[in-house]
Amino acid sequence: MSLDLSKETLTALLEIALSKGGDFADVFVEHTRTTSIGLGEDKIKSMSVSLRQGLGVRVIDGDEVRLAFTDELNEKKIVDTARAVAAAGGGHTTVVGDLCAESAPDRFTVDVPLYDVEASRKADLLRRANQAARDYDPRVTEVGVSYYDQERSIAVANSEGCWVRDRQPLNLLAVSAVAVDGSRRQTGYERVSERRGYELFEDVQPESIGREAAREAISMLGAGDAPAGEMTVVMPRGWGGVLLHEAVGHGFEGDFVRKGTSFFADKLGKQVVSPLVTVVDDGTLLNHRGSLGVDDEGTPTRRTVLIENGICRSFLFDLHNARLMDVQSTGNGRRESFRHPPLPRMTNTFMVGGDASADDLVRETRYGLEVRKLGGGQVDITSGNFVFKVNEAYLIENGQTTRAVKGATLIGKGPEIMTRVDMVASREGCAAGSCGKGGQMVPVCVGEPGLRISAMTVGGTGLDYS
Amino acid sequence: MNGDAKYRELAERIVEQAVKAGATEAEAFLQWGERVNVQINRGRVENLTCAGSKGIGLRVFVHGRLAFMSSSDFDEHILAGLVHEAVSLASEASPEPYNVLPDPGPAGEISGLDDPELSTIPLEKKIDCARKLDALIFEQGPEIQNTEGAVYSDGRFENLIVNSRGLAHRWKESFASTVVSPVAGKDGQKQVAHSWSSARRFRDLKPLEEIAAEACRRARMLLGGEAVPTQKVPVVMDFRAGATLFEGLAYAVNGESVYRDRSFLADKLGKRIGSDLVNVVDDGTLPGGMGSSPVDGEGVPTSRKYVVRRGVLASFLYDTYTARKANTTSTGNAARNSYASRPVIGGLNFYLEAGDRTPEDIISEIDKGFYVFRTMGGGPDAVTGDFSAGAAGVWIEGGKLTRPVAKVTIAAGMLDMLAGIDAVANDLILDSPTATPTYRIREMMVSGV
Repeated sequence: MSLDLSKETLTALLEIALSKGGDFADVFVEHTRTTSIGLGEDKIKSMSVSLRQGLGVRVIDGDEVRLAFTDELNEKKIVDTARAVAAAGGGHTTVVGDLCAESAPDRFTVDVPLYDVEASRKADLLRRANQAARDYDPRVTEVGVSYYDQERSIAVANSEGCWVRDRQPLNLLAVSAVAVDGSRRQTGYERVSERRGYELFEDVQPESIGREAAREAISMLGAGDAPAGEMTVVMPRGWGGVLLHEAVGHGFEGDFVRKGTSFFADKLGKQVVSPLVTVVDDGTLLNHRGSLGVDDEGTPTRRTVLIENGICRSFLFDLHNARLMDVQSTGNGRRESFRHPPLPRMTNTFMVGGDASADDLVRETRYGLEVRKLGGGQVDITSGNFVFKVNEAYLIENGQTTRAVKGATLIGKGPEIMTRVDMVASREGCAAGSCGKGGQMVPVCVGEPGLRISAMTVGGTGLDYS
Repeated sequence: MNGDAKYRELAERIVEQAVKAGATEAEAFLQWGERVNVQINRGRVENLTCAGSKGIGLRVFVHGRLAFMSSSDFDEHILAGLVHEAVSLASEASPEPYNVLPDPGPAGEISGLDDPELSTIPLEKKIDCARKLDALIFEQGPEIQNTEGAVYSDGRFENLIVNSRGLAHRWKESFASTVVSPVAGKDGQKQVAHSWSSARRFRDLKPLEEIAAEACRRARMLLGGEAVPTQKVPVVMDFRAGATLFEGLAYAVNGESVYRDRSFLADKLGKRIGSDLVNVVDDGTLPGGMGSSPVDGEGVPTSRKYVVRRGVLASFLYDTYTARKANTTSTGNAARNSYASRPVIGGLNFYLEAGDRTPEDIISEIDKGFYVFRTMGGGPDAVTGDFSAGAAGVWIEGGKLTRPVAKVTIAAGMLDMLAGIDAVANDLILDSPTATPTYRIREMMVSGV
């Protein structure tokens, strides 16, 4: 049965959901199939296949939302689910519009469908990545490789007549290497993830992922303690975008804005950060991990300028928060699965290139920290304070990177730190990640062309080497 | 046929199918239940979710080669297809002699894990619970100007595990929880804080007044926090902030991290890793414990053991696979996060034992130091043994709490932190799987301006 609910069935469900009043209803049907493989200790440890399917029904009644879901798609269960969200509201009656089927904009290319590829070929990818990591240096003592491919198909129908489907392929290969030298132990991590067919692994060789993870672990083996205190920080192209994601991105999400809990809530049209900073959220980028044809509410994704030359331009909206603020959804309503409510979320969020040369960021710094790889981050939306972990970093002394330093986190207040951006390199780049909010994980990209922050707190244990 | 018997039959059928398809061993895990989630914001029902869910996870071993499948769809034909797919996928995995399933055995009874009352309490009463909590914060003084909302959620589940060696266990569990997130404001500054309570039973939740007052106290105390100059000082970890270090410890004593070179404690068994005050227990048998269950995710009875005793590393945590590999027995620490994932090693109720002093007493001895209410980002790195995290709290001077602190990090080696624990308070609350009382670390680097 899965996604092939008929127009009549969907219309009936929407009518039941709205039978006791409400402004809006939608039905979300999901079918997701995932194959995953794990490698460790030179062995393929496990092979997995999983299937998740179900249906969620939502009613919006003013600022109130009711949601129910079922993982059984038989007629009785789906009708019960629609009944569960029908509740006496303010007496407002909404007539369900005529559902008009549309296809989602095409954002993904699939030359080799993921399910046409035999498991043994997929397992080879992990073995190749593993071997390359181990061959990089004998001090690499353990390598973990994980792989998954996923095909998520969704169908969304709502009371305003929208009826759309999207197929969202996703694949990932990630390597974590451990290097040991005496009592020193370090890890390195690298991954590739896109929404496209299996041909990804012809463009990106698994060996290169393995080698990069090994390189990071080995370079950090000799690292000293990271300095503590405030200093100039150079952020890397691509992954450096975690900074934007935490320092700016979350504060632009429509729910925090509507409730007035975000620092940026009342800043539209105002200069909020350095004029060198232009930030965009773009869910339309071809094959990117954060891209979607339509979001999980059926709205086509788009490019939204959040900050233009330092001025706050637009927020990120789902249908519910957009409706309450009398604006349009920006195609950012996302849910981890049919079991979760849609929330305004980022897609691919990145900074537009500036005019500095990438080399100058370090060359023009007397003393500071050059960050090459970042771990995860976190933000307190209300105060704007954010933190993220540094996985690979080097001291900058007199315009040169000198020694590797380990164990640092970076901390600051988003708007303050982004005001201190004093150089932005020209070449843009994105990196694949996952974003957690309200207990829901969604795939995203972060990006940045490489930039310099004049002063930021570095939380190591070491001395000030200046 | 009622649900219970139907699912038992389904589990046994799937295991049988796997064996017929060529699995040498097979294990089915089923979970089914109901959940409620209510979010209230300024009196309005911002989200109300009521739903049932179910799923099955199947592990198969084909001569030591492991494959796994999971599904939320119980359609007979779809499941049969997935079983065959799993058995055939197994041929791609590497054979390992340690890949075996546990034998049948008796399981203990643990009281207080299921609250039948949750199914009889009317939904309106649950919604009211969140509504009251949401309203209560605005009675806590003029600084409380906004809210991120109040949430009530609960769930009741039944778990069933059956394997081809004849092992079969079934147990019920439930949870209820409330959380509130008031926003304090003053002079353009905003500060959110959270306070929560969770329990297996509805009646064991903390009074709403207490949760609201605690959240607002935190929001007020943190409001307007600024960075302090970079320096080394004693750090007091409040009972909610303290768990992060021990989550890192739990990862480092995980039997898999140990043999895969991913633990800074890999060669420390039987050695001193902390001060005499460090007594860390992992207890899967705690009555009413949030991490308790009669058997673990493989059907092995859970246990209570010291992981660290008077500062000495006493035990690692094992599942069946890692225990065989280390030539010992499973400690019953194979955790199931959901039916959709394989069991992974984890702490059950993993906690630092309480001391006999009050937090105030511990703070009063500090001339200059940092009382940490929450940590953010980063945290422990169990591979290298480094710890660095963002922190917010209150500065201590002359034994007294003075001004709010934010935008700083705290950092130290984890071994130095454990060895530096020189006071442990009496305020341990076992309401989350990793818990600590308030404790003091002799010295950490506080990095600010």
